[in-house]
Amino acid sequence: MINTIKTQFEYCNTPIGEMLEKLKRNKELNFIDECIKRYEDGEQFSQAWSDSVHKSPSLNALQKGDKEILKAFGNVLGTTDLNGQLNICSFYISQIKEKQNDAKERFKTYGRLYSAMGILSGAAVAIILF
Amino acid sequence: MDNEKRFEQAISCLSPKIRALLVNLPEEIKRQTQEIRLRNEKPIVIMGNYGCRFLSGAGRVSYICTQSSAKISSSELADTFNRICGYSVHSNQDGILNGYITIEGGHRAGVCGTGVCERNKITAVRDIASINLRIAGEHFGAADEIVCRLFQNGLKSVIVAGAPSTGKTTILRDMARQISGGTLESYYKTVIIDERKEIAATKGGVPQNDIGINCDVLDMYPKGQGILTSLRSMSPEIIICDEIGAMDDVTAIEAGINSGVKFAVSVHASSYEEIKRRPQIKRLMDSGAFDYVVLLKSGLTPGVISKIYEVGEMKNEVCSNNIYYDFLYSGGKIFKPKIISKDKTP
Repeated sequence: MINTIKTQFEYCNTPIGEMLEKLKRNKELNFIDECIKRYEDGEQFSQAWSDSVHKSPSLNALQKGDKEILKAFGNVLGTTDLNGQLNICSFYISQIKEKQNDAKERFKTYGRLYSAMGILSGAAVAIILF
Repeated sequence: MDNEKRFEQAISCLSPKIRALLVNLPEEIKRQTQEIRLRNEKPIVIMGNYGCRFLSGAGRVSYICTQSSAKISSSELADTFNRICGYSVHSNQDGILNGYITIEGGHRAGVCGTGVCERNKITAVRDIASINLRIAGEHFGAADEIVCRLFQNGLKSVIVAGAPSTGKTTILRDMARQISGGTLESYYKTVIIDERKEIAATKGGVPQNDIGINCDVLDMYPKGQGILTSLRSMSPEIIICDEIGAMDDVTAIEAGINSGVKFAVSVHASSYEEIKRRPQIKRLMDSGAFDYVVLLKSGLTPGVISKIYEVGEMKNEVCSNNIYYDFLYSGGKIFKPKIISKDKTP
């Protein structure tokens, strides 16, 4: 999503309203629709974004830290000039990539452990039963 | 759209708390309000035909500023600024650097803040300190005098001059409506170069203001490019553009002058003396392409014509110090054009 937003900034200088209208068509990003509604009802944009991210069921799979990154991104979206927005997008993309790498590392480390634990538990159950 | 609805449209971009204060104002105040002035931590001022008033609570105004006058906080001002930008500061960067943002409906928000300079050029504006929301008016008949008096024998090129808030844009818009809408003997092909979206207030390709039937809009085109594009593609009989300020604009008009097209433009100048001193206007008149200068009256009621000068005569006055001018129209009385003195030198 942030990559798409960055591209829209870079090549079209698209206003945030138009950008969000395009992004909300993606079913995985249904928090955007909620955000637009809240904003139109008079909430501040950053508050509307933060509340929508917090309450969206489609983002439940995200960890707390990931959600915080997404909320922080909404706080600064559209509040600076073009260069500022591009820098902000790059910063949050790098943050997300870092998180992604951490998750991969964790998967590598704990994945093997959990697999081994699963096999051993299975073996233990088999021994006990027979 | 009547003025009350325009007022409500304009305040829709303000922060909810300020909007709530303004939406309950009496209808008469809403109809007459021209400006809403918001200054950081200062009382909210509204201005219009009635003069200057202070908001003193939801739906109430007072003549004097008191302790109970409603103020706007820093966070509300910042929120208002972001809302005016549609939370898209990046898309309004040029406007902010020029000091204003045009919002839906053609309303204009003037912005003051701390300039970030680089080599004597403003590159950004930070710490927004005040916003002046000017409500765009659509007054049918505002250009009646000009259309009836000056265009009866065909289109003429006209400069509309006036101080800020004297109704220049309103008059240009009504001229477009009348000229292209068949008020005269023909539906003249009219093109509006709407660089700041103030004349036609186009949204999604549809003008929000009534600009007549036979009128095309080059929305957000820079004047120079717009003039050349319209000449190439739209074969206009008259081109209308607002606020000629830079010499580049004058150069662009000069490029279009020899194509046989008439122009109606507006410039900032509040008196005859100022008109004489503005090099842009002098150059436009030197070009010989303009027939009349309409000077608008400064005061509480916008769109009131103070004087109409015939350019051919005034041009000589401006250029050679000869007294060659006279008024066609002054304060409601119509005079026939006449030359006071042909060869008199000061």
